[in-house]
Amino acid sequence: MSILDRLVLFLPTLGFFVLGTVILVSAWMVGQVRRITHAAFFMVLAFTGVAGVFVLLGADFLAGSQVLVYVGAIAVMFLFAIMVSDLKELSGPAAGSGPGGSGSRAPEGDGEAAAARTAARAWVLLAGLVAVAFAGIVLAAVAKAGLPEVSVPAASGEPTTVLIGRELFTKFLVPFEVASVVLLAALVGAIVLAAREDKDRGLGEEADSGAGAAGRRNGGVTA
Amino acid sequence: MEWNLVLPELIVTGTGLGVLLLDLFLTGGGRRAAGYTGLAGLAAALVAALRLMPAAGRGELAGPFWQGMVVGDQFAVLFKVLFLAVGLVVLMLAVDFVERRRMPAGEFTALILFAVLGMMLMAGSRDLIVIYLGLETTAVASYVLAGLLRDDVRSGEAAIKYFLTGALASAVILFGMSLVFGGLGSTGLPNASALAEALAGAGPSAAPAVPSPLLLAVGLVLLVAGFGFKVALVPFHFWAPDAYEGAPTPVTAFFSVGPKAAAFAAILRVFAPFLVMVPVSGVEGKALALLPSIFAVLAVLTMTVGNLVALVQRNIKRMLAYSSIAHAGYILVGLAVATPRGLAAVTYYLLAYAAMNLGAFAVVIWLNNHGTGDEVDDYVGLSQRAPLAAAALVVAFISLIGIPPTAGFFGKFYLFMAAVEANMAWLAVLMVVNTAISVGYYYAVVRNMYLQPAAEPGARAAGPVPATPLVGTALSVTLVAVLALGLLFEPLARLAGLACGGL
Amino acid sequence: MIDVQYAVVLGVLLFGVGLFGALRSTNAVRILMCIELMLNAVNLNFVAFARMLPQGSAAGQVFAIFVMAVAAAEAAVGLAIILQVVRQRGVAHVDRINLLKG
Repeated sequence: MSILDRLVLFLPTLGFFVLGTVILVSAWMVGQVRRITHAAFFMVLAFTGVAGVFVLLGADFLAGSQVLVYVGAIAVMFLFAIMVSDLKELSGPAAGSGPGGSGSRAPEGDGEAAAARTAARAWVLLAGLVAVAFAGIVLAAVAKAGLPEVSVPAASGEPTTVLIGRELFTKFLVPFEVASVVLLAALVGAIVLAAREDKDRGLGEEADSGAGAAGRRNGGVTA
Repeated sequence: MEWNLVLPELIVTGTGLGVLLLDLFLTGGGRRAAGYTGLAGLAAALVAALRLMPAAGRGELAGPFWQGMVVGDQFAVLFKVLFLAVGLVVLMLAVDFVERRRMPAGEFTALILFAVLGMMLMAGSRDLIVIYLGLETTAVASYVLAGLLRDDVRSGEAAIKYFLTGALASAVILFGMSLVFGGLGSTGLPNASALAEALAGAGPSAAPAVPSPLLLAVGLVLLVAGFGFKVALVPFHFWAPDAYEGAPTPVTAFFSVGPKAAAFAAILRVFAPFLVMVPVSGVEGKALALLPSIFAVLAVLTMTVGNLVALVQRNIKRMLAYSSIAHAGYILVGLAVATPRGLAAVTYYLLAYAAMNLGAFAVVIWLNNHGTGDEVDDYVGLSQRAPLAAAALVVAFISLIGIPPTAGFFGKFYLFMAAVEANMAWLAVLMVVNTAISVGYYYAVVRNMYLQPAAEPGARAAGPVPATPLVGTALSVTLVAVLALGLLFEPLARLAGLACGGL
Repeated sequence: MIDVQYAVVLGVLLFGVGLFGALRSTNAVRILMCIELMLNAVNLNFVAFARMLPQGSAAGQVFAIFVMAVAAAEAAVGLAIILQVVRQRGVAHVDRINLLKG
């Protein structure tokens, strides 16, 4: 085997570890960075990294969906929500922290502030313990489980789209229909909660998308 | 047969869509029509589900339908009937409330219907994908329902708390499911007999029945934590009181019974095969054998903390929230026992609990509709102002405590016997001690209603409290059910046993 | 060549990081972001386990697709609820949510 061949074989592994590092670091940053907009961008980075890992695992259709759904739809929705709530904060009378300050703001009173800070630190510690305990137990189980060793070549042959499409509309037809009900319930719910006006006052129509409702409120705040 | 089996689900979904369309044409007082349509749909679905009962009893519906996504065993049909009845009662209680508080009637009705649909799917499938999607249908609808009092700050707070904990719990459940999927090698769950068979004799098939029991066991433990959030077991219960207090009262009634019972149905469906199965050797076996002990610890914690904290509550919705936490603790006793009889006792208790808790909430909603507040002190002198309501609440409380002629007594008795039979008498004794503690907070309300003088200075809303037809019907139905479930204990316990036998 | 086990390990670690972030954050939007990361971790697991199945079943990937759909639904409802609370109280309150404290 020539050095070139070895290198080609090694590339996916290298890619996997690079992507893994990117994913974990950006996921960590989502919970840590001060500004919520930055957290959103780190989230996008993590989503994109996961899409890359899907490609390496030979799940090409999922990688595409991942980009479209998470990076395209969900992340944009988050940014919309952040924009709307920050606008409200800037125009509202309530004294607030900087946009998206994450709980670092201390309440009034020195003693109270110190106590609050201690309590906050204790919660962070507890959260860390829970997460570490979780990861430790599950990793130990995965290590001991004796999973079959399956290596995935980067390009594992035919695309998975056909297989997924066939399964989705035959074997998984019932779940597919149920998923549509989930989405409908979410649609109805998001509209009814986010729509600003009461129908009884007859001010606006509510048959609109969630983004439309957000935009309307946006206008209402500045008005 | 395939179509008949999912007829209740189809009717509920169709009614939900119909209500949403109908709502576009309704204005002002006509909004009630949305609620009536929902009631009609639920009643039709209930009839359809009841008609499945005989065939399910004969075991004709057990086979996998819809590519194994839907099962129609007795367990599924029994729980579908329960969920549809719960939906019916809750909607009856809600119509007046929704109108009075100017909540969006069409969306409210449709979301209740979708939530009921999700609950039915949770009980009616042996496939992790369908169970998960059912769970999420119920959850998404519930988050919105909690926040539907759009001008009430506490309602929004309830919704956000319920949503964040619920979404976190879903993620944990999902992670557990992914490990179970890795352990089992498929999304379909085995039933107890198939699993035992596969494990006992390695069988003619070369492939192992359970490729990785250890992953399976860890996944199941995570599922306990996730479902623990959903049914508010004690280390995971902190969201429940706030969510229950802030949500619109009919929605609180729904939360405390519907999604909770559905989550328990899913727990029974997922865990039953592994609780009563032939033990596996090695680390895997130890991990799986740990499950009943985990349930036992959670049961003790849940009922004790629930009852003790309920003692100091001044708001009746909050008190009922802690009371429902405590009842989840009693129900867990049946899972900790891990015998077929214990599982049957869980099923029977869920039926009894649904009836009596809805009865208590029916009274709270009835009084609230006529201006009585939700504080325990608002119930002072109620026996003179509203003797019927006071008496009804006493009946519901008697059952919640577990005093003889009622369903609550038989439910506890059944759990108690199951625990004693399985040599877990200490758990049974703890249950009795907890029942004694619970008398304290139920009696505090009864004392306020009957023994405190009514005409205290500043007592508000002194007028009589008339019952509206819908609330009256709902209350009568629940109270009759509380007594009937008790009187019919023998046949129902047998039915519950048969239902759980097929898990 | 990647051993599929590495993908599972990555999934577990990502879930742990997300869990930590969700539990320690006090901002509702940030908690929701962390929950989305946790769902991504679950999807990694499903895809990896699906690769290990002897018959090459698509069940894992299909499950992951459903998780995506539900995640979108959950995010929409969650953000609507958060916006409602923002409208009722102002951002300040959304910032003071602490899941652990209850």
